[in-house]
Amino acid sequence: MSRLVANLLALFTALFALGCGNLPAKTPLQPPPYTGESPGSFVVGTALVDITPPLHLSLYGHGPESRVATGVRLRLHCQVFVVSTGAEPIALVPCDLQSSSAALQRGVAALLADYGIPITADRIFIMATHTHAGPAHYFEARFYSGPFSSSIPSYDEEVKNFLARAVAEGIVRAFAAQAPACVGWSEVNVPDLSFNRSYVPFLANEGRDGSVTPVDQRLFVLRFDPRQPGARTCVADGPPLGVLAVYGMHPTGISHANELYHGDIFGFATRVATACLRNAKRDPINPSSALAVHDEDCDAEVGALDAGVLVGLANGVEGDVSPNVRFQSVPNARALGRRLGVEIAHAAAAIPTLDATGPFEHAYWELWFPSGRYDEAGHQLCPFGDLGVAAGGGAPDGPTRLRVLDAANPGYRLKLPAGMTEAERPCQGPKLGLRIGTKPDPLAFPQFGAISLIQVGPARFATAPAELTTMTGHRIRQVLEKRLGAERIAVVGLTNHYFQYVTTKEEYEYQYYEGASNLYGPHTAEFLAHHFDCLADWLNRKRGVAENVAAGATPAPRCSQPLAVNRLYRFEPHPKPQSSRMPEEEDGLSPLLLKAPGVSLSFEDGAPGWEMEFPRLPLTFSADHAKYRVVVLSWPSRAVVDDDDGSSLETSEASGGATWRVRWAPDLEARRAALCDQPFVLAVRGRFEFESRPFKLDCSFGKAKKQ
Amino acid sequence: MNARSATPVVLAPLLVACGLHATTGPAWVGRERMAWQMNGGVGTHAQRESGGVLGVRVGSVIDHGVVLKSGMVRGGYDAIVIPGWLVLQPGLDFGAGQPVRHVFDGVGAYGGGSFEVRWRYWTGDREPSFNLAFPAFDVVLGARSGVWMPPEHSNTTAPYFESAVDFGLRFGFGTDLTSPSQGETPRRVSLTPMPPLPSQGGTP
Repeated sequence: MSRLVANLLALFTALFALGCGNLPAKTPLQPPPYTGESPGSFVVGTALVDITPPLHLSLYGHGPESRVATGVRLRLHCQVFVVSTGAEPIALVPCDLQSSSAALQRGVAALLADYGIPITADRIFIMATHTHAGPAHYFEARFYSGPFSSSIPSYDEEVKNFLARAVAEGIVRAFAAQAPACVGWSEVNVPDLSFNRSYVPFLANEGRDGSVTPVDQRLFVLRFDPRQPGARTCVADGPPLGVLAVYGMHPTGISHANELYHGDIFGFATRVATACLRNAKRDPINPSSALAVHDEDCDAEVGALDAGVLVGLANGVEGDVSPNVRFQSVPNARALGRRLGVEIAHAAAAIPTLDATGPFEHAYWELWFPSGRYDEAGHQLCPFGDLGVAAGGGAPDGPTRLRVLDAANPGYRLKLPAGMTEAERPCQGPKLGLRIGTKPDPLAFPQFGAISLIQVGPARFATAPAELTTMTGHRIRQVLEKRLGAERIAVVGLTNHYFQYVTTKEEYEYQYYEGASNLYGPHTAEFLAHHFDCLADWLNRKRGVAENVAAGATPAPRCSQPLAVNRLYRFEPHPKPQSSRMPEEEDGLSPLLLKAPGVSLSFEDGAPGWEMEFPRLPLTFSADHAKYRVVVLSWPSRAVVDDDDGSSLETSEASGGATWRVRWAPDLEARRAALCDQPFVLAVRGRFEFESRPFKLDCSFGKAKKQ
Repeated sequence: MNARSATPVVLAPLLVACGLHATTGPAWVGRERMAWQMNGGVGTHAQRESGGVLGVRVGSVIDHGVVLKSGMVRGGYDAIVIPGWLVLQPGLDFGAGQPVRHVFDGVGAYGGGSFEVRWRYWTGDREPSFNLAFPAFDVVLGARSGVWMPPEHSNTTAPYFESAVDFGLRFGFGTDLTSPSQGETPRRVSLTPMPPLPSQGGTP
């Protein structure tokens, strides 16, 4: 028997060694050398990448209610921030995606290894903004590519590769652009932008007092300013190099009936914040003052987004947080995005001091969720992930047609079987699993996901691979503040992997949308909080700040289990081969011969827009800004007054796909004086170049409306 | 709602808990010698709670080949004895055609009773879940007995008793889209004062 046990132990050890290991980087490059730099000085590189895919992929986020993309409203972007103090750079990458996936994260890491960039998967943080108008098809988990994932259920390796290439390209560019920088950190309260959409479960939380608001209103801003090599301070007299903000809110300002790619509220917000900060200046009379942001600057045309200040916006504690819009529409999303963007700019501009040096560390820990232990007593999560039937009806922001069934509505709980008490319920408690097939599928949902703690100077981030409800985020932050002895920790959700929602046990009991979408059972929030506690303790011991270190004793670990920090599970996506949805490149295109199309006025969501139609172009053109770009030119000077990097130009299919339509819907509330009664032309640039007939922006409808 | 998305909504109620079965066994009519019959059919079954069922069945006889003999409509009641495992189904059969042996000319009418035991061999239904679609595989053992009435102008006008024993397999399909609810949505009338949590014995 003992021999058998020994063999099993050896086998287990070998499997463990195979399963966990650092990914080697091929021929690692080094960050650019700067002479005279103090040790520990920050170097930062930024880059913007366009991840807008070709048309005709499914959108992702509203399940089977998601539509197929037939156009682009806001181009999808990732903002890349590569940060280091000379070694071990990390990449912070907020992206206009519904969520990230292990396949995408590992795909990016593999490409970086091929490029020789020394950033392994444990130092890549893809932070999804959670737009519900990004592409689907890059999730290896079966349920996320299955019949109820989107309108075209499938995993598509080419879509994953497309996104991975774009993100990797951005990281390479940011890595190469690293330059001395200073960092500053700010936290402000931004109320009234959102509300708690599952208030009843929220009220049920134990320990809830007046200090816990129904939504986390904190906006965190990490600001990078350029610095002269060797300088110990920053002369922050101009626009910053970049800003990474964190705010918690479902950015679902536009309804699920949408068919266009866009970044939703967060997409509008980053554009507005960029415009604000590009024009921010110090007061020349009082040079010691903070940067001044004038609201009118925020309405200026953004221009090329990849030049100048880069603003990224990651999502925070947003699981039960909906945007405060009267109804979902493009104008309302734009208005809320503007408010958020202005707040980001104000918060970034108001940072009084920036530091050239400071602590820089990160700890990344991939957790195995099935049967994962959530306390030191050995209690475990459920062995399988399971989605509750009450999740099938969708959230209030995006209800599905399954709501015709009572079971698919919030609060639907499994009846207690006869003779069973509440305490004796199965692992998933009152959740009634939503299934297809005969039994739970262990590969239906992700099995591992990473948490991490990142410190960049005064800025602290705690990232989680899920959507955290307000109370879950609060409890995690409480644990971290206590363990790390620090405040102002930005909890970022939706990072690198996607485990849907994490609710507290009390919220789970109610089986509202979030509780029914909590995959591994009622104790998942405890699981995350426990592991964050362990990770913070690991960081403390690594720093040697524990009190008993000073006394010469080895600090006792907080958690008995081994921590595989900054190590990776071996990962192989296991989807079935699928034919790709990615359209083929079209070569040998004949010239587009057309008369200058006319421009007509139309109203959508109550907002005016001027549009022209022209023969359809290849679907791949929407993904390639070198081949297809839309601009608005003043007439007759032909100066560019707007372009599709901004938030006012849409391209979409029309006439059932036979033609394309370009629609210009500028924000007339903000730019009326500059635009109304002026002549313009709409123009397409790139592989084909043509212009519309000149038209005058007649805003008289607005006046009539006001009368 | 377009046609593509409407299709499953329309089809789902029609497909709730139905199955295709094939059985075989000996049958006797009058004083004739035993014949070996083979039946195939489609019908509904109760999935979560006992209830009425409806189906159709085509009967044949193996006699130098498969000879179609009769068609029957079957109405019954599925009594779920062990949920997810064992079902008893008494029922009534009405049909037309010929008995398993040629005892009269023409197309006669059939009326009778039957009893079926189904043991669910494989299913996804043995744990609490809301199954959008799942297969099931039953082993079926049944017996029936009834009376054939010859048509007018036949060679005989005497009724003939027919009895049969069947055993076979049933391939079922189920969905909970319209099945009896396994859960409940307790209604809240007031948020204040807070009711006790479900884990504390209260209901939300």
